[in-house]
Amino acid sequence: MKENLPALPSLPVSCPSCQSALVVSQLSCPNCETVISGKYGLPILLQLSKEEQEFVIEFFMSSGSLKKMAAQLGISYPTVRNKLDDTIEKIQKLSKEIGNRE
Amino acid sequence: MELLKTLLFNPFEKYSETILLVFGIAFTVLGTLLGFYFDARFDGVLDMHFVRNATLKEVALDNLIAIFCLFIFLFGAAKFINSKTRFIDILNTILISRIAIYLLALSPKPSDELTKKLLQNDFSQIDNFDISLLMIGAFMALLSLVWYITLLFNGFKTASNAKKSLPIILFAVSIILAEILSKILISYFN
Repeated sequence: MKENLPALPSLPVSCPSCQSALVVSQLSCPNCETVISGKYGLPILLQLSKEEQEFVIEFFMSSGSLKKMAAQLGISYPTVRNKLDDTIEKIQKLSKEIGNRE
Repeated sequence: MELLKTLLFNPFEKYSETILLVFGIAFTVLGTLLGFYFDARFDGVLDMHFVRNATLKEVALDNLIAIFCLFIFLFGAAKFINSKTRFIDILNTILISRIAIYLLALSPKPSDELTKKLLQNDFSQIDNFDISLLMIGAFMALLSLVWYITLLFNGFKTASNAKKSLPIILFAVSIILAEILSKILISYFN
């Protein structure tokens, strides 16, 4: 039987004080409690909001068919296309920011 | 409540192009028949006028010209904003939005006698009942116009993914140009 684990809080991707992108500074193993410290940038996909991440997964699962997605999500085709365009725009912006930092 | 709000003000966000097109065509036919039945001509993109005897050909042609003019300018503006804008989304926006204008054919029609008094500036002879009817008509016209423009803008925005202020300006200019062109074409053909 699957163990009922408490739900993990959603991952914050931007600083609540200055809105800058957050980085990972510590990782830990819940099994042996090994802790790794460092400074790791979050992958672009994780820097998207929860809604945007779900949208990207939905896009992937429907093999990139916007028509299929629109039917599944119960919204119109242009609404899906607009969401996709907005997500692409955000990813391009994030990529540019990462490129500037490197 | 949210569904009703979407249905009334931005059905383009939720419903598929097929559903919108079927309802749009159905309401265009129904609106034309309403205009014919109630002697109302939709003689311009933003117009509805009661006339003495409207023929079905006049009402249908007025309506088609208005739809055509709106389409030319709104599609042009939407394509300028976003090249991915689809023909069908702008057409559906226009067909569905015009429902608000067709409803005006149901507004109280002023009698010939009342029109005569109004044209002669003879306000003293107008009774309270006629004033009430005029006020209801004016109120309906205002509501319909606001609803019509809201639907048009929301559809335009959804179709073109318009953001910021430039699309608002382009939208307003398109409506004005469509109104001018429709008036010219209607006076020429009808």
